[in-house]
Amino acid sequence: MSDILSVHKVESGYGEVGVLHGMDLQCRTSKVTALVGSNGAGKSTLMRTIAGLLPNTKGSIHFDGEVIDKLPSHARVEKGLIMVPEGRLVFSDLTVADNLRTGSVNVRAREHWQSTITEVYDLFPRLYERQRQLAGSLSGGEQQMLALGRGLMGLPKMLLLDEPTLGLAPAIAKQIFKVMPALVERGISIFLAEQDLYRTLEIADYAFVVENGKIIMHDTGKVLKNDPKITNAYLGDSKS
Amino acid sequence: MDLLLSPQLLFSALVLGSTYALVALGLNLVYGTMRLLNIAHGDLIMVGAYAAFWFFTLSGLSPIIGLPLIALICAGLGLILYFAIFRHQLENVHPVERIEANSLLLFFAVSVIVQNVVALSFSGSPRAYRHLDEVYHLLGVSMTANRIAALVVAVTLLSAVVLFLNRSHYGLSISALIQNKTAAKIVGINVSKIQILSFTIGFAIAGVAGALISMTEQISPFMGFPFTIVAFVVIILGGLGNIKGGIAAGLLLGFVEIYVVVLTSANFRSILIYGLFVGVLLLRPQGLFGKTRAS
Repeated sequence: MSDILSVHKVESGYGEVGVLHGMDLQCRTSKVTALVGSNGAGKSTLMRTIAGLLPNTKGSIHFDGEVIDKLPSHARVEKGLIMVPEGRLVFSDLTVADNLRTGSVNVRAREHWQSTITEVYDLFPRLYERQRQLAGSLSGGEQQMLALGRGLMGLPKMLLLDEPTLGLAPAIAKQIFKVMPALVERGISIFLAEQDLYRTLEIADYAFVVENGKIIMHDTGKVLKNDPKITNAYLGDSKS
Repeated sequence: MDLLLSPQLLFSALVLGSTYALVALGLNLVYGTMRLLNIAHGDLIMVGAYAAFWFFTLSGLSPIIGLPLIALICAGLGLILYFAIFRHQLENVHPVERIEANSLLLFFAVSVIVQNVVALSFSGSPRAYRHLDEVYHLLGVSMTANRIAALVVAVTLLSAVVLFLNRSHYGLSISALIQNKTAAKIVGINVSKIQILSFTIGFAIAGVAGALISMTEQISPFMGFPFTIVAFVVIILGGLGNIKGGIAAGLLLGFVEIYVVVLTSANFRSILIYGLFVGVLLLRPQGLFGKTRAS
């Protein structure tokens, strides 16, 4: 088993404000790795740093055997590292179909876009029905499917999913979680940051717990789910 | 009433409207993709007009044939300015509001420098040339060949840009970047490449607009400012960064100007343009065709 992504002593943040203070973690190839922790712990900051939206001030990031932390974000997409951002960030004035096409502008994916879009429509028939509609007119759940579909259009080796179920109805959140194993089966590695701790640990092969910009614990999803420290701190008594 | 329905007036409105649409298109591309407020836009139109004038005067080259060359000159000027001044702003200045403010001042400097260089080189007095000014009569409309040519070129270029934005992956990337820069980076768009492309295309279109204008109007080093104003009025009416909205607003402004001047008097032209502008903004602050943009 090899690591597709490894983050080594990474420090990053916004301007003068440091958010990550020496992050260390590894993600296995074709597995679901989870990043859990409370709001403000640094989950999104790490995701944005790995995707190249924020520079890391210290440390290094390796992806698929190469150092990528000096590359601009589009070059990371080119290598197959693709983020589905928090808040979805679909292009609301473009149609669903055009949104999906933007996902395949990278050179590696461009020529395959027609076959990829068919696969995405198979995965999310809802998007097929709405392909001519403007993305801004979709519901939150549909926009999340669109953001995920747009990510898949880039032919990812690894998807960075940043809070994919935030603000969604439980039924739709469940649907999003159901898609992930299907993606892993296709050989895509997943790095998932989520606030729905219970479902996340259920699905994750391995998970890291982040607090104040540092990893404080890591283990398999199964072990962490049954760890009283985790359940008390993040889940409350009702679900433990 | 007969006057209002006359094809002559319709033709004039179409010529003016398509020119306005073209004038504004270049500005809209530069603002939409980079949030650079190019108040030197009218001066690029002036550069295009002078290029057309000199090519014609010195070598007899028709501005219509010389359009690619004129576009290339303005695109080259754009490239120089981009790498000399604006790349640094785009890469190192945050947040975007500060880029807008800085760009306004920088382009003001560019405007003053370009105007004065042209005035020093070719004097400040107005110039004109006669080309394609034979009159044709068609469907009861008398029109000079240069106006017909300007209309045809403008409409062709506007359609080509809309097609390019809709069909090519570059066009798709430009549309995506106009809407949301962060999302554009995330999906793998090479943002700086698309910005250079938009910057050069925007400048090239301004040059072409200037060449077309020079065929029918007097040119001078200080002719640019009214076009800068028209361009801003049009893109704000159409919704900032909304390319198709801007084209529609340009045509609309041309029609309103021609028809209201006929109904009232040419003295009301400026009052009219600004009145329409203020009126629309009071009722629809996002512009006539503006959409709410998440950025």
